[in-house]
Amino acid sequence: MNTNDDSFLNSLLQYHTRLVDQHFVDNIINNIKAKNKFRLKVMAVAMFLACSLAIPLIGSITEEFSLFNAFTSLSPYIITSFLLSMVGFSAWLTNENF
Amino acid sequence: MVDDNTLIARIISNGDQHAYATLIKKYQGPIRQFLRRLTTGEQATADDIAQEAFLRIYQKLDTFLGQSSFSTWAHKIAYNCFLKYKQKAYHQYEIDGFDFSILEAEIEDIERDLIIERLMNCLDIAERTCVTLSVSAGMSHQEISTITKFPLGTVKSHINRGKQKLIDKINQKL
Repeated sequence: MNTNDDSFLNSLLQYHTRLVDQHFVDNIINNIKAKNKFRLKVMAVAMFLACSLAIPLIGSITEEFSLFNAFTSLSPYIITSFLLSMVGFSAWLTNENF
Repeated sequence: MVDDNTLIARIISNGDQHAYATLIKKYQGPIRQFLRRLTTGEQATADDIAQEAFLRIYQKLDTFLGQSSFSTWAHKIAYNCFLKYKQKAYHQYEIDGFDFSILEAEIEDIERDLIIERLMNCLDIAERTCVTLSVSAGMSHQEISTITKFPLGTVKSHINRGKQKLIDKINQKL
């Protein structure tokens, strides 16, 4: 490889056009906004479900203690799989990639 | 002009999308050009990968520790997005019927870039990446090693071999 070849190649390989595209920027920002919106919606639905399950329990809290006792007396395998699925769902919800 | 670290701090602390738009404006050129070289002229595909890369950059911004420059870190994410894309089949341009003699003539920059992008097809992906980052993006061997995770010696040999292949191809075609 001689010096001429090398400098010719180096100049050839430079980026000749300057890519500046507002549309490209807007697309990404809109994508981020859409993802955030979707995430907020899913979180709102999850909160609503959690509240709708929890609020009726307040009135009959003592009865629910027995329900809790019944839950804890279940097989440890069932309890573990229930807890793992809840933790998994929460992790998915808080994951940045979601 | 606000520096990268200030912009990044604004994005992390209060999700400032205007700051992120500024960051994209600054780096979209080199990242898109880099991906166009890697995809050998598939410009639409390269831009799709670039969009995916910028989304991932936004999501992972809080993991940027400043151990390398933001440009190196962004190129690394773009390269990983390209590798992920490459696992799927993609069209490769046939370069044998391409007229490289016009490289010597006065042509539009945009046309020249497209020819170079297609010419990259005669290199394998490792050579294409190392040559582009070294010659076109002006990165050091150490930075290329950080992006590609190749040892320094491998980076150097990929660059030399890649450049030699390009020269041979151009001489053969001219």
